[in-house]
Amino acid sequence: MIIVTVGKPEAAATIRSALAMGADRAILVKTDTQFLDAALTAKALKAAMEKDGLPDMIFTGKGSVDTESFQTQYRLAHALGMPVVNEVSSLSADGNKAIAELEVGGGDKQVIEMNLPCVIGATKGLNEPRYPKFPDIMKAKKKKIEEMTLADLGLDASSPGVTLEKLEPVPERTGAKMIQGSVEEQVTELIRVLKEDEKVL
Amino acid sequence: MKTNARAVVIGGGAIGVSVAYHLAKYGWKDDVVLLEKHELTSGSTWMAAGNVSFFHGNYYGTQVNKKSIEIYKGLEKETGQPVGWHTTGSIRTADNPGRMDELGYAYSMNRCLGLDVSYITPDEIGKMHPFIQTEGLLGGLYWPDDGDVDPNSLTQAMAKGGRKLGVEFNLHTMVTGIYQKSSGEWVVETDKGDIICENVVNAAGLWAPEVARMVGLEIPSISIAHTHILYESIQEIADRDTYLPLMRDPDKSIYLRQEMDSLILGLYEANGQQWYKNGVPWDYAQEEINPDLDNISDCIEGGIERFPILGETGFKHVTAGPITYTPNAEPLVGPAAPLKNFYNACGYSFGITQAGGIGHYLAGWMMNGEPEIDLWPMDSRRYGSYANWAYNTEKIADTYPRLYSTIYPNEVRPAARPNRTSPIYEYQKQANAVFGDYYGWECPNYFPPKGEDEYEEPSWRRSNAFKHVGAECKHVMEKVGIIDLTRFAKTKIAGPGAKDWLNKMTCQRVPEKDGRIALSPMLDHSGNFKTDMTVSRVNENEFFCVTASVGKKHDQHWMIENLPKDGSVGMEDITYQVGCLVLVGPKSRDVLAKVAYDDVSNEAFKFGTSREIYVGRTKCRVNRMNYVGELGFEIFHPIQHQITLYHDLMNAGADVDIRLIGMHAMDSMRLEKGYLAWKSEMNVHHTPLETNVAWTVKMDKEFNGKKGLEKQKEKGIAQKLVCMVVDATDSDPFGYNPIFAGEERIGMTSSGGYGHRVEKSIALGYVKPEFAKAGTRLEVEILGR
Repeated sequence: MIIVTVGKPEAAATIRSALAMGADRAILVKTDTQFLDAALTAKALKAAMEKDGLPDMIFTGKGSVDTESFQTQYRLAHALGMPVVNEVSSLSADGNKAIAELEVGGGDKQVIEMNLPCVIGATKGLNEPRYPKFPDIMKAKKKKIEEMTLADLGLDASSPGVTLEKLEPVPERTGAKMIQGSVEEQVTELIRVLKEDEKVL
Repeated sequence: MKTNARAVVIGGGAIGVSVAYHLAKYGWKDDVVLLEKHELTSGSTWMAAGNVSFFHGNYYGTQVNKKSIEIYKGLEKETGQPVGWHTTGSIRTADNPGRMDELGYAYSMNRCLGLDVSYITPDEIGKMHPFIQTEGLLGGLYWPDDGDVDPNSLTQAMAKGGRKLGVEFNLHTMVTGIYQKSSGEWVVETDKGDIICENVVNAAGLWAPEVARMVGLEIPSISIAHTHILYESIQEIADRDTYLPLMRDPDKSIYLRQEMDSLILGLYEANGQQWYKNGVPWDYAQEEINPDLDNISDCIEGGIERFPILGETGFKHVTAGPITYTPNAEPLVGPAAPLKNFYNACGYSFGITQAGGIGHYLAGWMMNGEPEIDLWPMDSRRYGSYANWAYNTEKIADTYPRLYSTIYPNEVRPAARPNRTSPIYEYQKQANAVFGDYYGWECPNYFPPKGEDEYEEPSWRRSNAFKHVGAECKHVMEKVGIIDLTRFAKTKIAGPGAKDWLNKMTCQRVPEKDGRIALSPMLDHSGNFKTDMTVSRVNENEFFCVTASVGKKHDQHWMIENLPKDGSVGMEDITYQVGCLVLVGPKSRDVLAKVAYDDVSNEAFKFGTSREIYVGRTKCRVNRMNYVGELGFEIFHPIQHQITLYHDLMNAGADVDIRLIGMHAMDSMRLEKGYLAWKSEMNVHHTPLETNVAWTVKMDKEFNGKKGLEKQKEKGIAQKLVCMVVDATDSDPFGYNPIFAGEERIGMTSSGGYGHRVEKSIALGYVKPEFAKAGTRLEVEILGR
């Protein structure tokens, strides 16, 4: 298992955690900024993987939690010409095929079979992350993190297709509505609110 | 927000909330205001592990722990807020004989308090804690009543109790300044307005030094990142019906306790990281510090050796957060000298263990003027001006990794020294002095021959200093020696009201004639010892007062607080202007006569008198008395003359083999004579009537504490000081040893040691009066035996 990360040098700490959880080695493509255009991220991942040797299966998250652009895995798969499935919650392999399950809402489950190599976007349930043990943490310190820059991979970050303009907190929603009165009155009022004001019933 | 209050408590951690709660509970009710710049618990409380146990290095700290446990168990019932208390019991292990001795000391001391504590074998430890690897253990102590508490719930419960009683909690309220009005009232300025109050409590934890600075004080408290590790769920623990005991393996510098269905490992690593040692930013709140696993890996490995399961279990969360430390890791509590009605409750590194107890005791202290138990080990006045920031940052680098190191009564650490030295320090070094550290002063403990025992081995037994101390005692008994007591606290009391005021401050009659000396205990309002001074009358309106060096701040604070407002009495601290060399031994008069310009014969210079004479060219005040019980003279002198005086005395005594004598010899000899020591025999639990200085009590005059003594006289004393000869082999009593008559515990030692003149082990202690008769056979338990 090889960890490949595109990010600031501080990302090395996160890589160490992954190494402590069992990965064998890692590649860190260093950038100056935390928020990179998804297209460039995918290019960097592709270049780094090609340089190292392409794997049979590439795991990504379902989307980044900071910019939430949900694009990297698709762009990467497209560039590599691999099939991609996102939000996978269960996975098995059968010879040269991977069988992925994903929840599609309403309690329905989709099962997709695809050829290897492929890209899997993971979501909760795919695996129970194990907590690293102290000996593993110490071993992880000795594991190799190969570092390179975008320039080393022949990439240029100076004119990204997309830039992040602003990141600001959403204003807090106004407080909850307290319903007063006897239990009977409260229930009647609650049903009225749900039907008439919120129109959810 | 209120604009007036009886007390303002600064800081909403477990300590501050407890102080506010107890002040309200014991009667100040809604006259108490607490100020917190963020949320409750957001300084250090949030990250505390929550261990609450009886074990503490000293007797009074143990009592504070005991009180906490009592309070925590009752809080839910009183406030309706659960505190997450679990009685788990706790075990402290030992893997070497020195540690077993320390456990023995704790065992005996705990027995003085009637605590449930017992020795357990490695096999028994293994049965009680299935995850321990007992190989290498010699044994341990088990306290069945120890447990843990949830620090946040505990703080909230005390806050809830406080609110019910009327305490006003002002969160997100920042203290910006504090000053005292000429009326004595304090003004606490905040970003939400000012509060005028009678009393202020500094419970500001991480920011206590900043709050202290607002009133011009420097207090030694720096934060260190303390780390504990929460492991992932362990099935064998989830399957258990009972809680695992809290384990402390001090030899591996770790503790381990159950948390839900898992374990928490806490550790004190070799290189504690001081965090914002120049001052924690005001806007810090409840953030975790990035843990540095490399720095603590030795301790974690030690933990795995002792508890192998820790190597097979994942880290769920590593918590590192700032906790305050002081030079000796004991907190800073009580009246802040030299201020009036300003109190410290900070410097805590075991705040959850003591929050309940110290809240109770400090509230009582503030309301009654005296603490219910002697809190000297944690009194912030134990540190003088030497204990500044630089001292502390050096000292705690040594103290933190040694928090779990074996405590030895005779150990003097070299860290952050020297600080204060006598002018003759270099001569003492040349004479091969092995120095002790007394209130920042370098003072020789003993003088071994060159190349021999130049380091006193820390031990609970007789140390390698023993024979050298014996030689010094013999020397004083037969010849003459010089003891350097430059560190004595010296205070000049002068003015038209001096005599009357001193007469009120002490139960003794202040000398009526110039040049007379009186041993003068000062008492609190119930008649217990506050301190003890030697008062020499210089003239009708001037007195020269000498007190113990380590009590300087405490004693002078007591005097300042009591000085009359009319200006009729002036008080001047002359400690650093006046040195003291004690010339002692049968040949001391001959030596003095040789060098003095004045007549020092017995007729001209009687015992118990004080004279101003020329010793060589140095004009000195000489008191014919001393603390070792041989012929001797305390020679007080201008400190800048000390080296000259020293040479004059050494030259004059050369033909009678004069030599320097250390503190160990002095202590041995004072024990033999039954002379009392401050905070050993003389503390807030005893009156002079219980001791051999009852003769200093003059009931025919008015003085502080007289009513208390009258009451005691009426009721009769409950305990009496005795001097005991102990049949000991290699370890002597040291204080806090229980005394038994048959099976009955009838008292406790206050100090002890070996009397080299009489060649016997000696203890002083308080026992029930019926046993205080010469020839009574009693048993003193030493190191658990």
